This record gives sequence, structure tokens and C-alpha cells, in this order.
Amino acid sequence: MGDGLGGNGGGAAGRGGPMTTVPALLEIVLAAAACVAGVLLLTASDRRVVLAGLGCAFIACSALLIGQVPFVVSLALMTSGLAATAILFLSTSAAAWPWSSAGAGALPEGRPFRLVLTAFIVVAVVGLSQGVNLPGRTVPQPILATAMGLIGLGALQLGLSERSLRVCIGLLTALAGFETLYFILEPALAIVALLGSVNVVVALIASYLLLVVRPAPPADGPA
Amino acid sequence: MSAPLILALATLLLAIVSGVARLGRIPAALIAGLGSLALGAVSLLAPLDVPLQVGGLAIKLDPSLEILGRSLELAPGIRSGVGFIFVIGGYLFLGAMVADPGRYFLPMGILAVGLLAASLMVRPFLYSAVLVMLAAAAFVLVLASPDRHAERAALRLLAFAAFGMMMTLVAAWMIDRLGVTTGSPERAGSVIPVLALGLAVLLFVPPFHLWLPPGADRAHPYALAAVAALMQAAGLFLALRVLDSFAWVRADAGVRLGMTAAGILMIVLGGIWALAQVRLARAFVYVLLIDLGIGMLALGSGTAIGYQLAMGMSAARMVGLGAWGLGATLLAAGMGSDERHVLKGSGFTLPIPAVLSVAGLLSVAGFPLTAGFPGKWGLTAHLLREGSAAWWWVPAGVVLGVVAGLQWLSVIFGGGARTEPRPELTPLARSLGIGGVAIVILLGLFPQVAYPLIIGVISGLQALFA
Repeated sequence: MGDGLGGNGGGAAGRGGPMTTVPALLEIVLAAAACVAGVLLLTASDRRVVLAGLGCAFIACSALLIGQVPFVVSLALMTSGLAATAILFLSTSAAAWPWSSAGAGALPEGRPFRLVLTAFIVVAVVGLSQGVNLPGRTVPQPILATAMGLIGLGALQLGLSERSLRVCIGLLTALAGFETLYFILEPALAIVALLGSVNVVVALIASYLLLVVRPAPPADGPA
Repeated sequence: MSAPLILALATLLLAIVSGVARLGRIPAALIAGLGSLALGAVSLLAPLDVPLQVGGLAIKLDPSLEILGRSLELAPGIRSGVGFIFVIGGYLFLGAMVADPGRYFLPMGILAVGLLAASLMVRPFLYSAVLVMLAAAAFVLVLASPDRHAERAALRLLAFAAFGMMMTLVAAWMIDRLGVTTGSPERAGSVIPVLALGLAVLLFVPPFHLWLPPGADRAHPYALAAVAALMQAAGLFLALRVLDSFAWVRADAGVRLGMTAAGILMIVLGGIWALAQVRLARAFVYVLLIDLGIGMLALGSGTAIGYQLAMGMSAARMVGLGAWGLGATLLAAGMGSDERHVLKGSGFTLPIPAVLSVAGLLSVAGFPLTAGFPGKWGLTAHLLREGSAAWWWVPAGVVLGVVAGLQWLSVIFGGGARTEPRPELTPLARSLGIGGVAIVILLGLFPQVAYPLIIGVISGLQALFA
């Protein structure tokens, strides 16, 4: 945590308004919670665990933003993320949950394999985020690590499976990470609203593919 | 009244009306197609900021619309681009009268066209990446219709668009914060790779073309052609606007070199793959990749004429894509599949769709006397005049594409007439098919009629021609 990256008040000070920041210890706890949620999204196969993980990731990310951006921005991230989770919950209630505990349907999808890859990603992003110095803006290191970790885990999810729901959840994971970082850099309401709508649209697409388009037959290659 | 608001509301209305299932396929496609053409005409011709008398009512069309501190602006520089997107949409939606590309093609297609048009109008314009991402989301429903299992292609497109959006937004922020100018090459050097990655997604630079092959396997051919046409048009406009807006991007030799290298890569990969396919749709998407690669060479020339030729080739591509999409749809529907062994001799069974699909394929490849040829001929001559070492990749790409096209011509019209009963085409399908072939050939024979109009679309991007 060098070069002032550990500071909490950069954004608040930059915007000239007194904002309550998240204490440093809590910041670390929230970052860890977001990353654990991201790991669960990648490794769990139980519906409740996966969706709870997604909801937790968005809640932790928006909590991390408190004090860094206007409160409404943090609230918007949480609202859109929870709306996306709710859409996925409702649609997976109506359709069969497509992941069996055996985890079939993806190229190397065994849980140990995923855990090893996840560990690689987490270690890599925590290491890389130490050296990242964004121009003109101080971003606390836990937030940077969370954002990059979620983007990495989301990308990994996309790379490991072509199952519709997994792809959409991977995208939402990556979007949660990206939005956490980007809203600190650019907390403009228009972009917050647009990116919030992207979360909801991705969840709606997952629902459409789950409920309207039935899963592709095996001839489609690895699902 | 705000012109962008009118366009947005009209697009929404068209999407809702054309999505009404009871309307029937042909009326819905007519409404969507003609409506989109009308919106194109409004974007191109409506007098902005001038008081008008309509039935005793005084109105003035405001070119901008403020939303949450950002604006949509139908500025003079981009209104022809907005009109162009709506016109392409109209042309493609009219084809749906015959092609029947699925229930969501028209409503979601119109919505996507509206979002792509808005992506050209939004200020600051790099925010357009979010709107393009939302358009890609609408295209998921176009590609993965309930009766097709094209979700793999659709989700790849969505994922690429999402990561492209992230890259473009980060680049926009970096440009804003770093204050990059032509005098600060080290700062430009840190922004350009991020920006290039974002744009590469929209220009289908490998590996971001990877949604096309599974799309060719599963998606409706006409839906695939429409999505590819609209996405690449949006990508080209965004790339041209980046070049127009940032002198430091235009001035960077690395950018031109990168575009040329990407173009050559697309020609080589597309050429190898196009020749090795056993399905017509797959062969087509790789010929399209070659064509897009040649377009990249035009952009990489870094000259005003190169940009104009890229624009002209993009319009010719629409004609080829539409013709191929319609022809391939009718051919595959009539024969049951688009695989090589099934299509053998199908030209004698379904001559109009067969000629239309091959004409579209050869046009995209750049066969002489088709719509795709003049642009490529012009680009070869231009690159030779400029002394560019990359000039010979243009004829090489054309040869590769044409050989792939002729291969399919020999399959479709080879092996003699087939004995099975000939499927009947409706009179509308027959006339649209003949009309499609006629457009492909007429634009190839008389490019001077259409090219000046098409090139005029980007005349508002004045810095490109300074």
C-alpha cells in the first residue's frame, strides 16, 4: 500500500464535500467479502450459494464506495446489482437450475481445478494492484484489488464455461468489479445510470436464455 | 422539440408496433423497414434550429437532448452517420418480409439500431461504448431466437462488447485526465492500446470475431448478416470519430501500422479459413473477415481518401450482406441445410436464391462487376499511389475471397440438375431476390452513382479531411 494508495479520503476531498469514509479495517473486510463472493460464484454449484454470492459481491462493492463517491452512486450500484440478482433468482426458480453438483457442461470444470485457477487470479491481482498508479486519482488499495479481482474472476468464469447462465454471471461479476473502480474515477450520474442498466439487461438476457431458449443440444460443443 | 428525443420515441414506438405478433410478418417488416428509412430521412434532412410552420403550429427542432448531465446531439458532423445507420436498418428490415429471421428480429433490431444511432449522438462520444454494449445485448435476442441454439455466438458477442465497453470507458477517462496531445507521445502511448482494444471488438479484429463462426453454425443467416452489418457500421463510425476527434491518434504512426497489421492478419486468417469450410455460412463469415481486413487497410492508410474508401466499402458490404443473408436463408430453407453436400446442384432447384447468395458472397469478396469491387479497386490504386507496401494485400484478399466464392458457385451449380421437386418461392421472395442481384450488379457497374453519396456520409468529420 504505497504512494498514498491507502488513503481513504481522496475522492471525498476531491469533490469538496464532507463524506463519511469506510474505516480502513472495514474496507479490508469488505474487500475480502467481495473476493470470497467472487470465488463462490466461480466454484459453487448450489443455486442459493451462487446467487447469494452475487448479491454479496454487489453489496460489498457498493459499501466499499461509501465515502469515495456520492452516496447515490454507491446506492445505484447496489440497487442495480441486487435487481440483477433478483431477476436471476426469479428466473432460476421458474426454470431448472442448470448446474448439477457434478459440474458437467464445461471444459475443465472440476472444483479443485477452478479453485487452483481462482487462487492464481486472486494472488495475481492482489500483486498487480500494488503497482497500479492511476493518473490523477488516488484509489484505495483494497478497492483496487477488489475491482481487479472481480474483473479477473469474471473473465475466468467466461473463459471456463459457455453455459448461458455461467457466462452471464461471469459478466455480472466482471461488471461489478469494473463499476466499483470506474465509479470512483467517473461518478457522473449518466454513466452510473447507463452501467446500472447494463447489469439489469445482462440479467434479463440470462433469464431469456434460460426460460425462452432451451439449453443447446450437445452437438453445440462444450456448453 | 428535441430531434434526438423524437428519434428515440419513434424508435421505441416502431419497436413496440413491429413486435406485435398479430400484425403478421410482412406488415411488421414493412412498418419496421419504412419507419427506419423515414427516421433516416429525418436524421439526414430535418431542418434543425430553424423555426418551422407545421399546420399553423410553430415548432423548432432542437438538435440536442440533455440527460443527467450528458447530452445526445444530432450535430452536423454526425447526422449523416445517424441517418446511414437508420437507412441500413430499414434496408435490412425490409428483407425480413421474406427471410423471416425470428420473432425478435424486428423489435430488437429496431431497438439496437436506435441504440447504435444514439451511440453516434452521445457526448462525450466515447460514452457511446455503453450504448453499443446495450445494442449488442439487444442483438442477443436477434441471434438466439427461441427456435435456434445460437446462444453461444450471442453470448460471445455480448461478452466481447462488455469488455470492449470497459476498455473504451477507461480510455475515455484516461484521455480526459491525462490531457493527451500530439506533443505528448508518451501519454498517448499509454492510452492508445486501451482505446485500440475497445475498438478492435467492434471492428471484429481477431480474436474478437470469434462470435461469427458459431453464429454461422446456428443463427439464422439473415439475422447474422444484419447483426454483422450493423455492428461493423457502428464500429467503423466510432473509429472514424476517434480519428476525427483526436489529432494525436491520427498522428501516431503506430496506430496506422497497427491497423494495417490487423488488416493483414484478418485477410490471412479469413483467407485460410474461407477456403476450408464445408458450410456456406461459415465460408461467408470468413470472406466477410477478409473484407473487413481490407477495410482496416483503408483506415491504416491514414489518408482522407483511405477513410472515404473505408466508408464506401462499408456501404457496399451492406449490399452484399443483405443479398447473401436473403439468398442463403431461402437456399438453406429450401434445401434443408447449407452444407456442401446438401447444396450440390441446388442452383438448378432454387436458381434465384442460389444466384442471390453467390452474388452476395462474391460482392463481399470484391469480384469485378459487383458492388464490392470498386472500393477495393480504388483502394489498391490509392495505396499504390501512396507508395504503401501493403497495397498488394488488397488484391490478395480479393483473390482469396473470390476463390472461396467460386468454390461455392461450382458446388451450387455443379453436379447437374437434381431430381427432387423444386420448392416454390413466393412472388415477393422472387422479386426481392431478383432485385437484390440487380442492386449488387448495378452498384458494381455504376459506382459513380452511389459512391459520392456514401462518401458524403463522413464529410462532416472535418478534421479527417483537413
